[in-house]
Amino acid sequence: MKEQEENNVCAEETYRGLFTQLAKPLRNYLIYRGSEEGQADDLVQDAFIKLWENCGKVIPSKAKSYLYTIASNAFKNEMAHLKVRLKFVNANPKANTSIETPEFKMEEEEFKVRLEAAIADLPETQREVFLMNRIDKMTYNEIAEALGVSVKAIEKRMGKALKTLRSKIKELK
Amino acid sequence: MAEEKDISDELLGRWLAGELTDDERIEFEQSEAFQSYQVIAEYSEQLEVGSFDTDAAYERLKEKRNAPPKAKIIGMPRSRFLAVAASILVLIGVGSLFFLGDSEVENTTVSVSKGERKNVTLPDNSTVALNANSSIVYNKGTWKEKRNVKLDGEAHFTVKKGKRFKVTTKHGTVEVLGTQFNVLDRNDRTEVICYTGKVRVTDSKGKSTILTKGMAARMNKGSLTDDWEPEIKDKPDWQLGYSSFNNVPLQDVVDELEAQYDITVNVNIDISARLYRGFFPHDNLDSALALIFGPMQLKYTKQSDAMVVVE
Repeated sequence: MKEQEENNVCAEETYRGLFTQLAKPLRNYLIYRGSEEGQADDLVQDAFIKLWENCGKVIPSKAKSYLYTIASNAFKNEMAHLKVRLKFVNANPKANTSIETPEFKMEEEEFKVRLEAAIADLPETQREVFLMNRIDKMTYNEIAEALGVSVKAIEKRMGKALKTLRSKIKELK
Repeated sequence: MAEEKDISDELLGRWLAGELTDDERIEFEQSEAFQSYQVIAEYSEQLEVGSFDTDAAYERLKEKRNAPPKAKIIGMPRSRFLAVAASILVLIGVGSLFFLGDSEVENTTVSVSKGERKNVTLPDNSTVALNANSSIVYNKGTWKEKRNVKLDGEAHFTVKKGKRFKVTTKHGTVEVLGTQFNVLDRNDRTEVICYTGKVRVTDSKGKSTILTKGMAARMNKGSLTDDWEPEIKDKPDWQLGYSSFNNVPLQDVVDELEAQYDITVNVNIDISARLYRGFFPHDNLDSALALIFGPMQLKYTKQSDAMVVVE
Protein backbone atom coordinates (compact mmCIF):
# COMPACT_ATOMS: atom_id res chain seq x y z
CA MET A 1 0.00 0.00 0.00
CA LYS A 2 2.81 2.36 0.86
CA GLU A 3 3.90 2.88 -2.71
CA GLN A 4 0.55 4.50 -3.44
CA GLU A 5 1.23 7.23 -0.95
CA GLU A 6 2.44 9.69 -3.55
CA ASN A 7 -0.03 8.67 -6.18
CA ASN A 8 -1.54 12.07 -6.65
CA VAL A 9 -0.55 15.70 -6.36
CA CYS A 10 -3.03 16.77 -3.70
CA ALA A 11 -0.54 17.35 -0.90
CA GLU A 12 0.37 21.02 -0.64
CA GLU A 13 4.12 20.22 -0.56
CA THR A 14 3.89 18.09 -3.70
CA TYR A 15 1.85 20.71 -5.47
CA ARG A 16 4.06 23.58 -4.42
CA GLY A 17 7.12 21.58 -5.44
CA LEU A 18 5.66 21.19 -8.92
CA PHE A 19 5.01 24.90 -9.13
CA THR A 20 8.51 25.83 -8.05
CA GLN A 21 9.99 23.43 -10.54
CA LEU A 22 7.69 23.92 -13.52
CA ALA A 23 6.05 27.36 -13.44
CA LYS A 24 8.95 29.22 -15.00
CA PRO A 25 9.80 26.76 -17.77
CA LEU A 26 6.10 26.42 -18.53
CA ARG A 27 5.74 30.20 -18.77
CA ASN A 28 8.81 30.37 -20.99
CA TYR A 29 7.44 27.61 -23.18
CA LEU A 30 4.32 29.67 -23.83
CA ILE A 31 6.46 32.69 -24.64
CA TYR A 32 8.48 30.63 -27.12
CA ARG A 33 5.23 29.71 -28.78
CA GLY A 34 4.40 33.38 -29.14
CA SER A 35 2.52 34.28 -26.01
CA GLU A 36 2.84 37.73 -24.51
CA GLU A 37 4.31 37.66 -20.98
CA GLY A 38 1.23 38.73 -19.07
CA GLN A 39 -0.87 36.25 -20.99
CA ALA A 40 1.69 33.52 -20.28
CA ASP A 41 1.48 34.34 -16.55
CA ASP A 42 -2.28 33.91 -16.64
CA LEU A 43 -2.14 30.69 -18.60
CA VAL A 44 0.34 29.21 -16.14
CA GLN A 45 -1.92 30.13 -13.24
CA ASP A 46 -4.94 28.64 -14.98
CA ALA A 47 -3.08 25.43 -15.71
CA PHE A 48 -2.03 25.06 -12.08
CA ILE A 49 -5.56 25.75 -10.87
CA LYS A 50 -6.79 22.97 -13.17
CA LEU A 51 -4.13 20.73 -11.71
CA TRP A 52 -5.28 21.60 -8.19
CA GLU A 53 -8.89 20.89 -9.03
CA ASN A 54 -7.97 17.55 -10.53
CA CYS A 55 -5.16 16.74 -8.15
CA GLY A 56 -6.60 13.36 -7.25
CA LYS A 57 -6.55 12.16 -10.83
CA VAL A 58 -3.01 13.16 -11.71
CA ILE A 59 -0.05 11.09 -10.62
CA PRO A 60 3.10 13.13 -9.97
CA SER A 61 5.09 11.69 -12.86
CA LYS A 62 2.36 12.79 -15.29
CA ALA A 63 1.90 16.26 -13.83
CA LYS A 64 4.42 17.86 -16.17
CA SER A 65 2.84 16.66 -19.41
CA TYR A 66 -0.59 17.42 -17.94
CA LEU A 67 0.39 21.05 -17.29
CA TYR A 68 2.05 21.53 -20.68
CA THR A 69 -0.95 20.06 -22.46
CA ILE A 70 -3.46 22.21 -20.58
CA ALA A 71 -1.46 25.40 -21.08
CA SER A 72 -0.73 24.63 -24.69
CA ASN A 73 -4.37 23.94 -25.52
CA ALA A 74 -5.49 27.07 -23.72
CA PHE A 75 -2.94 29.08 -25.66
CA LYS A 76 -4.13 27.71 -28.99
CA ASN A 77 -7.51 29.15 -28.19
CA GLU A 78 -6.19 32.62 -27.59
CA MET A 79 -5.55 34.99 -30.44
CA ALA A 80 -2.32 36.88 -30.03
CA HIS A 81 0.74 35.10 -31.31
CA LEU A 82 3.70 37.43 -31.13
CA LYS A 83 7.23 37.15 -32.33
CA VAL A 84 9.40 35.84 -29.56
CA ARG A 85 11.39 38.56 -27.90
CA LEU A 86 14.56 37.41 -26.27
CA LYS A 87 17.54 39.07 -24.75
CA PHE A 88 21.06 38.08 -23.91
CA VAL A 89 22.01 37.54 -20.29
CA ASN A 90 25.28 39.31 -20.80
CA ALA A 91 23.94 42.47 -22.35
CA ASN A 92 27.24 44.34 -22.37
CA PRO A 93 29.33 42.92 -25.14
CA LYS A 94 33.06 42.81 -24.82
CA ALA A 95 34.36 45.71 -26.86
CA ASN A 96 34.97 44.84 -30.46
CA THR A 97 34.57 41.12 -30.08
CA SER A 98 33.93 39.53 -33.40
CA ILE A 99 32.77 36.17 -34.56
CA GLU A 100 35.20 34.39 -36.82
CA THR A 101 34.29 31.07 -38.31
CA PRO A 102 34.81 29.86 -41.85
CA GLU A 103 31.19 30.81 -42.51
CA PHE A 104 30.49 33.72 -40.19
CA LYS A 105 32.61 36.83 -40.08
CA MET A 106 30.96 39.66 -38.20
CA GLU A 107 30.89 41.72 -35.03
CA GLU A 108 29.49 39.95 -31.99
CA GLU A 109 26.66 42.48 -31.77
CA GLU A 110 25.59 41.78 -35.29
CA PHE A 111 25.77 38.06 -34.76
CA LYS A 112 23.49 38.34 -31.74
CA VAL A 113 20.93 40.36 -33.66
CA ARG A 114 20.94 37.81 -36.46
CA LEU A 115 20.71 34.90 -34.10
CA GLU A 116 17.70 36.43 -32.36
CA ALA A 117 15.97 37.16 -35.63
CA ALA A 118 16.68 33.67 -36.90
CA ILE A 119 15.29 32.09 -33.74
CA ALA A 120 12.15 34.20 -33.97
CA ASP A 121 11.73 32.92 -37.51
CA LEU A 122 12.09 29.23 -36.67
CA PRO A 123 9.04 27.05 -37.21
CA GLU A 124 7.22 26.76 -33.90
CA THR A 125 7.98 23.10 -33.24
CA GLN A 126 11.69 23.75 -33.65
CA ARG A 127 11.76 27.00 -31.74
CA GLU A 128 9.96 25.74 -28.65
CA VAL A 129 12.20 22.71 -28.34
CA PHE A 130 15.37 24.64 -29.07
CA LEU A 131 14.68 27.30 -26.46
CA MET A 132 13.48 24.83 -23.82
CA ASN A 133 16.90 23.29 -24.10
CA ARG A 134 19.02 26.42 -24.45
CA ILE A 135 17.25 28.74 -22.01
CA ASP A 136 15.57 26.45 -19.52
CA LYS A 137 18.38 23.91 -19.73
CA MET A 138 15.89 21.08 -20.01
CA THR A 139 17.34 17.78 -21.18
CA TYR A 140 15.89 16.12 -24.28
CA ASN A 141 14.32 13.60 -21.96
CA GLU A 142 12.57 16.28 -19.98
CA ILE A 143 11.36 18.04 -23.11
CA ALA A 144 10.10 14.79 -24.60
CA GLU A 145 8.21 14.06 -21.39
CA ALA A 146 6.65 17.53 -21.26
CA LEU A 147 5.51 17.51 -24.88
CA GLY A 148 4.56 13.85 -25.01
CA VAL A 149 6.85 12.97 -27.91
CA SER A 150 9.87 10.68 -28.23
CA VAL A 151 13.43 11.66 -27.40
CA LYS A 152 14.32 10.82 -31.01
CA ALA A 153 11.86 13.41 -32.21
CA ILE A 154 13.49 16.00 -29.95
CA GLU A 155 16.95 15.12 -31.27
CA LYS A 156 15.73 15.64 -34.81
CA ARG A 157 13.98 18.90 -34.06
CA MET A 158 17.09 20.22 -32.33
CA GLY A 159 19.23 19.25 -35.29
CA LYS A 160 16.77 20.84 -37.70
CA ALA A 161 16.70 24.00 -35.59
CA LEU A 162 20.49 24.27 -35.64
CA LYS A 163 20.55 23.81 -39.40
CA THR A 164 17.85 26.40 -39.95
CA LEU A 165 19.64 28.88 -37.71
CA ARG A 166 22.97 28.36 -39.43
CA SER A 167 21.58 28.94 -42.88
CA LYS A 168 19.46 31.91 -41.76
CA ILE A 169 22.45 33.61 -40.17
CA LYS A 170 24.47 33.07 -43.33
CA GLU A 171 21.79 34.26 -45.69
CA LEU A 172 20.95 37.39 -43.72
CA LYS A 173 24.05 39.05 -45.06
CA MET B 1 30.23 28.30 -50.10
CA ALA B 2 30.59 24.61 -50.79
CA GLU B 3 28.01 22.61 -48.92
CA GLU B 4 29.78 19.67 -47.34
CA LYS B 5 27.96 16.40 -46.96
CA ASP B 6 25.52 17.33 -44.28
CA ILE B 7 25.32 15.80 -40.87
CA SER B 8 21.93 14.24 -40.13
CA ASP B 9 19.41 16.12 -37.99
CA GLU B 10 19.48 13.47 -35.36
CA LEU B 11 23.27 13.38 -35.11
CA LEU B 12 23.39 17.15 -34.89
CA GLY B 13 20.79 17.07 -32.14
CA ARG B 14 22.80 14.51 -30.23
CA TRP B 15 25.94 16.56 -30.68
CA LEU B 16 24.34 19.52 -28.93
CA ALA B 17 23.40 17.27 -26.03
CA GLY B 18 26.98 15.96 -25.88
CA GLU B 19 25.90 12.47 -26.79
CA LEU B 20 27.98 11.67 -29.85
CA THR B 21 30.45 8.82 -29.74
CA ASP B 22 34.09 9.85 -30.02
CA ASP B 23 34.26 8.78 -33.66
CA GLU B 24 31.13 10.67 -34.58
CA ARG B 25 32.34 13.75 -32.74
CA ILE B 26 35.80 13.79 -34.28
CA GLU B 27 34.39 13.50 -37.75
CA PHE B 28 31.88 16.25 -37.13
CA GLU B 29 34.48 18.59 -35.66
CA GLN B 30 36.40 18.50 -38.91
CA SER B 31 33.53 19.86 -40.95
CA GLU B 32 33.35 23.50 -41.88
CA ALA B 33 29.92 23.90 -40.37
CA PHE B 34 31.09 22.70 -36.97
CA GLN B 35 32.39 26.08 -35.86
CA SER B 36 29.21 27.81 -36.93
CA TYR B 37 27.13 25.39 -34.92
CA GLN B 38 29.43 25.90 -31.99
CA VAL B 39 28.95 29.67 -31.84
CA ILE B 40 25.22 29.24 -32.25
CA ALA B 41 25.22 26.78 -29.35
CA GLU B 42 27.36 29.03 -27.23
CA TYR B 43 25.39 32.22 -27.79
CA SER B 44 21.96 30.67 -27.68
CA GLU B 45 22.78 29.44 -24.21
CA GLN B 46 23.12 33.02 -23.02
CA LEU B 47 19.60 33.94 -24.03
CA GLU B 48 16.83 34.64 -21.58
CA VAL B 49 13.25 35.82 -21.46
CA GLY B 50 11.67 38.21 -18.98
CA SER B 51 12.27 37.50 -15.32
CA PHE B 52 9.81 35.55 -13.23
CA ASP B 53 9.24 35.66 -9.48
CA THR B 54 8.13 32.15 -8.57
CA ASP B 55 7.23 32.90 -4.95
CA ALA B 56 5.12 35.93 -5.82
CA ALA B 57 3.38 33.95 -8.55
CA TYR B 58 2.64 31.16 -6.10
CA GLU B 59 1.06 33.60 -3.67
CA ARG B 60 -1.18 34.91 -6.45
CA LEU B 61 -2.07 31.37 -7.38
CA LYS B 62 -3.15 30.66 -3.82
CA GLU B 63 -5.39 33.72 -3.88
CA LYS B 64 -7.03 32.50 -7.06
CA ARG B 65 -7.51 29.05 -5.63
CA ASN B 66 -9.36 30.67 -2.74
CA ALA B 67 -11.94 32.13 -5.04
CA PRO B 68 -12.65 29.24 -7.34
CA PRO B 69 -15.18 30.53 -9.84
CA LYS B 70 -16.28 27.00 -10.46
CA ALA B 71 -17.37 26.27 -6.89
CA LYS B 72 -21.11 26.14 -6.89
CA ILE B 73 -22.63 28.68 -4.59
CA ILE B 74 -26.00 27.52 -3.48
CA GLY B 75 -28.11 27.91 -0.41
CA MET B 76 -28.74 24.88 1.73
CA PRO B 77 -31.98 23.05 1.06
CA ARG B 78 -34.58 24.09 3.60
CA SER B 79 -35.10 20.73 5.28
CA ARG B 80 -31.39 20.08 5.61
CA PHE B 81 -30.91 23.60 6.85
CA LEU B 82 -33.36 23.06 9.69
CA ALA B 83 -31.81 19.77 10.64
CA VAL B 84 -28.36 21.29 10.76
CA ALA B 85 -29.60 24.33 12.62
CA ALA B 86 -31.25 22.15 15.21
CA SER B 87 -28.22 20.02 15.83
CA ILE B 88 -26.02 23.04 16.11
CA LEU B 89 -28.34 24.58 18.65
CA VAL B 90 -27.89 21.53 20.78
CA LEU B 91 -24.20 21.32 20.23
CA ILE B 92 -22.91 24.81 20.43
CA GLY B 93 -25.74 27.07 21.44
CA VAL B 94 -26.63 30.27 19.72
CA GLY B 95 -23.11 31.28 18.76
CA SER B 96 -23.41 29.81 15.37
CA LEU B 97 -25.04 32.59 13.41
CA PHE B 98 -23.12 31.30 10.46
CA PHE B 99 -25.51 28.50 9.85
CA LEU B 100 -28.50 30.27 11.31
CA GLY B 101 -27.90 33.46 9.42
CA ASP B 102 -30.68 34.73 7.25
CA SER B 103 -30.85 33.64 3.67
CA GLU B 104 -28.94 36.68 2.39
CA VAL B 105 -25.72 35.21 3.75
CA GLU B 106 -24.70 32.92 0.99
CA ASN B 107 -22.89 29.77 1.89
CA THR B 108 -20.31 28.24 -0.37
CA THR B 109 -20.95 24.58 -1.03
CA VAL B 110 -18.34 22.35 -2.56
CA SER B 111 -19.56 18.92 -3.54
CA VAL B 112 -17.62 15.98 -4.83
CA SER B 113 -19.49 13.29 -6.67
CA LYS B 114 -18.80 9.59 -6.68
CA GLY B 115 -15.48 8.52 -8.10
CA GLU B 116 -13.97 11.99 -7.66
CA ARG B 117 -11.79 13.93 -5.25
CA LYS B 118 -11.23 17.59 -4.69
CA ASN B 119 -9.00 19.96 -2.77
CA VAL B 120 -10.53 23.11 -1.38
CA THR B 121 -8.62 26.06 -0.01
CA LEU B 122 -10.52 27.99 2.62
CA PRO B 123 -10.27 31.78 3.00
CA ASP B 124 -7.44 31.54 5.57
CA ASN B 125 -5.50 29.05 3.42
CA SER B 126 -6.51 26.11 5.54
CA THR B 127 -7.11 23.26 3.15
CA VAL B 128 -9.66 20.50 2.90
CA ALA B 129 -9.12 17.36 0.88
CA LEU B 130 -12.56 15.99 0.10
CA ASN B 131 -13.08 12.30 -0.44
CA ALA B 132 -15.58 10.97 -3.00
CA ASN B 133 -19.30 11.55 -2.43
CA SER B 134 -18.71 14.26 0.18
CA SER B 135 -19.47 17.92 0.55
CA ILE B 136 -18.62 20.89 2.70
CA VAL B 137 -20.44 24.12 3.33
CA TYR B 138 -18.74 27.23 4.63
CA ASN B 139 -19.27 30.96 4.56
CA LYS B 140 -16.68 33.36 3.21
CA GLY B 141 -18.46 36.40 4.61
CA THR B 142 -18.20 35.35 8.22
CA TRP B 143 -15.00 33.34 7.92
CA LYS B 144 -12.89 35.91 9.73
CA GLU B 145 -15.10 35.66 12.81
CA LYS B 146 -15.99 31.99 12.62
CA ARG B 147 -14.09 29.24 10.94
CA ASN B 148 -17.00 26.85 10.64
CA VAL B 149 -17.37 24.09 8.12
CA LYS B 150 -20.24 21.70 7.76
CA LEU B 151 -19.19 18.32 6.48
CA ASP B 152 -21.17 15.54 4.90
CA GLY B 153 -19.00 12.55 4.08
CA GLU B 154 -15.26 12.45 4.63
CA ALA B 155 -12.48 15.01 4.50
CA HIS B 156 -8.93 15.59 5.63
CA PHE B 157 -8.42 19.04 7.13
CA THR B 158 -5.15 20.93 7.36
CA VAL B 159 -5.88 23.92 9.50
CA LYS B 160 -3.82 27.09 9.70
CA LYS B 161 -3.19 28.44 13.17
CA GLY B 162 -5.80 30.95 14.23
CA LYS B 163 -9.19 31.15 15.83
CA ARG B 164 -11.11 28.06 16.71
CA PHE B 165 -11.85 25.94 13.68
CA LYS B 166 -14.99 23.91 13.84
CA VAL B 167 -16.28 21.05 11.73
CA THR B 168 -19.90 20.14 12.19
CA THR B 169 -21.41 16.89 10.99
CA LYS B 170 -24.86 15.38 11.47
CA HIS B 171 -23.65 13.66 14.59
CA GLY B 172 -21.24 15.95 16.35
CA THR B 173 -18.53 18.56 16.14
CA VAL B 174 -14.78 18.66 15.97
CA GLU B 175 -12.95 21.77 17.11
CA VAL B 176 -9.32 22.64 16.69
CA LEU B 177 -6.78 25.42 16.82
CA GLY B 178 -4.33 24.50 14.08
CA THR B 179 -3.78 20.95 13.08
CA GLN B 180 -4.45 18.13 10.68
CA PHE B 181 -7.28 15.72 11.10
CA ASN B 182 -9.65 13.51 9.18
CA VAL B 183 -13.38 13.41 9.75
CA LEU B 184 -15.64 10.74 8.35
CA ASP B 185 -19.39 10.89 8.80
CA ARG B 186 -21.25 8.28 6.78
CA ASN B 187 -24.49 6.53 7.70
CA ASP B 188 -24.48 6.10 11.49
CA ARG B 189 -20.73 6.11 11.80
CA THR B 190 -18.48 9.08 12.60
CA GLU B 191 -14.73 8.71 12.84
CA VAL B 192 -12.10 11.33 13.66
CA ILE B 193 -8.36 10.84 13.45
CA CYS B 194 -5.95 13.51 14.64
CA TYR B 195 -2.64 13.73 12.75
CA THR B 196 -1.02 16.74 14.39
CA GLY B 197 -2.05 19.22 17.08
CA LYS B 198 -5.07 18.75 19.28
CA VAL B 199 -8.78 18.43 18.58
CA ARG B 200 -11.86 18.16 20.71
CA VAL B 201 -14.66 15.86 19.56
CA THR B 202 -18.13 16.39 20.95
CA ASP B 203 -21.01 14.03 20.29
CA SER B 204 -24.66 14.89 19.97
CA LYS B 205 -25.23 14.33 23.70
CA GLY B 206 -22.53 16.77 24.67
CA LYS B 207 -20.03 14.16 25.72
CA SER B 208 -16.56 15.12 24.52
CA THR B 209 -13.06 13.79 24.27
CA ILE B 210 -9.73 15.40 23.37
CA LEU B 211 -7.50 13.83 20.78
CA THR B 212 -3.82 14.55 20.26
CA LYS B 213 -1.45 13.35 17.57
CA GLY B 214 -2.07 9.75 16.60
CA MET B 215 -5.37 9.42 18.48
CA ALA B 216 -8.76 8.53 17.08
CA ALA B 217 -12.39 8.60 18.17
CA ARG B 218 -15.50 6.98 16.81
CA MET B 219 -19.17 7.70 17.29
CA ASN B 220 -22.05 5.43 16.55
CA LYS B 221 -25.32 7.21 15.86
CA GLY B 222 -23.93 10.32 17.48
CA SER B 223 -22.60 8.67 20.67
CA LEU B 224 -18.91 8.42 21.40
CA THR B 225 -17.70 4.87 21.81
CA ASP B 226 -14.32 3.83 23.15
CA ASP B 227 -13.79 0.61 21.27
CA TRP B 228 -11.77 1.92 18.36
CA GLU B 229 -8.00 1.86 18.10
CA PRO B 230 -7.10 1.95 14.43
CA GLU B 231 -3.61 1.83 13.07
CA ILE B 232 -2.80 5.45 12.25
CA LYS B 233 -0.41 6.42 9.50
CA ASP B 234 0.66 9.92 8.55
CA LYS B 235 -2.35 10.44 6.30
CA PRO B 236 -5.87 9.05 6.05
CA ASP B 237 -6.04 5.72 4.27
CA TRP B 238 -8.21 7.14 1.50
CA GLN B 239 -5.40 9.51 0.55
CA LEU B 240 -3.01 6.59 0.36
CA GLY B 241 -5.16 4.88 -2.23
CA TYR B 242 -7.41 2.57 -0.24
CA SER B 243 -10.20 2.41 2.33
CA SER B 244 -9.83 0.38 5.49
CA PHE B 245 -12.45 -0.75 7.97
CA ASN B 246 -12.29 -2.02 11.50
CA ASN B 247 -15.51 -3.86 12.38
CA VAL B 248 -17.70 -1.61 10.32
CA PRO B 249 -21.22 -2.46 9.08
CA LEU B 250 -20.88 -4.12 5.70
CA GLN B 251 -23.41 -1.70 4.25
CA ASP B 252 -20.99 1.17 4.99
CA VAL B 253 -18.26 -0.69 3.13
CA VAL B 254 -20.54 -1.22 0.15
CA ASP B 255 -21.48 2.48 0.19
CA GLU B 256 -17.81 3.44 0.20
CA LEU B 257 -17.14 1.04 -2.66
CA GLU B 258 -19.91 2.70 -4.66
CA ALA B 259 -18.50 6.13 -3.84
CA GLN B 260 -14.94 5.31 -4.84
CA TYR B 261 -15.72 3.52 -8.08
CA ASP B 262 -18.94 5.29 -9.02
CA ILE B 263 -20.73 1.99 -9.48
CA THR B 264 -24.00 0.51 -8.28
CA VAL B 265 -23.90 -2.51 -6.03
CA ASN B 266 -27.16 -4.39 -5.66
CA VAL B 267 -27.17 -6.48 -2.52
CA ASN B 268 -30.00 -9.00 -2.69
CA ILE B 269 -29.67 -10.37 0.81
CA ASP B 270 -29.87 -8.95 4.32
CA ILE B 271 -26.43 -7.79 5.40
CA SER B 272 -27.56 -5.41 8.12
CA ALA B 273 -26.01 -7.47 10.91
CA ARG B 274 -22.70 -8.13 9.26
CA LEU B 275 -19.48 -6.40 10.20
CA TYR B 276 -16.42 -6.11 8.02
CA ARG B 277 -12.76 -5.80 8.86
CA GLY B 278 -10.30 -5.28 6.05
CA PHE B 279 -9.51 -2.88 3.24
CA PHE B 280 -9.98 -2.36 -0.46
CA PRO B 281 -7.83 -0.48 -3.01
CA HIS B 282 -9.18 2.43 -5.06
CA ASP B 283 -7.51 1.52 -8.32
CA ASN B 284 -8.61 -2.05 -8.95
CA LEU B 285 -12.28 -2.94 -8.79
CA ASP B 286 -11.77 -6.67 -9.22
CA SER B 287 -9.40 -6.92 -6.34
CA ALA B 288 -11.61 -4.61 -4.26
CA LEU B 289 -14.61 -6.91 -4.81
CA ALA B 290 -12.57 -9.97 -3.94
CA LEU B 291 -11.22 -8.35 -0.78
CA ILE B 292 -14.65 -7.29 0.45
CA PHE B 293 -16.93 -10.13 -0.49
CA GLY B 294 -14.41 -12.98 -0.35
CA PRO B 295 -13.89 -12.88 3.43
CA MET B 296 -17.64 -12.34 3.94
CA GLN B 297 -18.28 -15.48 1.88
CA LEU B 298 -20.68 -13.67 -0.40
CA LYS B 299 -21.09 -14.43 -4.09
CA TYR B 300 -20.89 -11.50 -6.43
CA THR B 301 -21.26 -11.03 -10.17
CA LYS B 302 -19.91 -8.10 -12.14
CA GLN B 303 -22.69 -7.49 -14.62
CA SER B 304 -20.97 -4.54 -16.25
CA ASP B 305 -18.36 -1.97 -15.40
CA ALA B 306 -20.94 -0.06 -13.43
CA MET B 307 -23.05 -2.79 -11.86
CA VAL B 308 -22.30 -5.52 -9.36
CA VAL B 309 -24.85 -7.93 -7.92
CA VAL B 310 -24.26 -9.62 -4.57
CA GLU B 311 -26.21 -12.58 -3.30
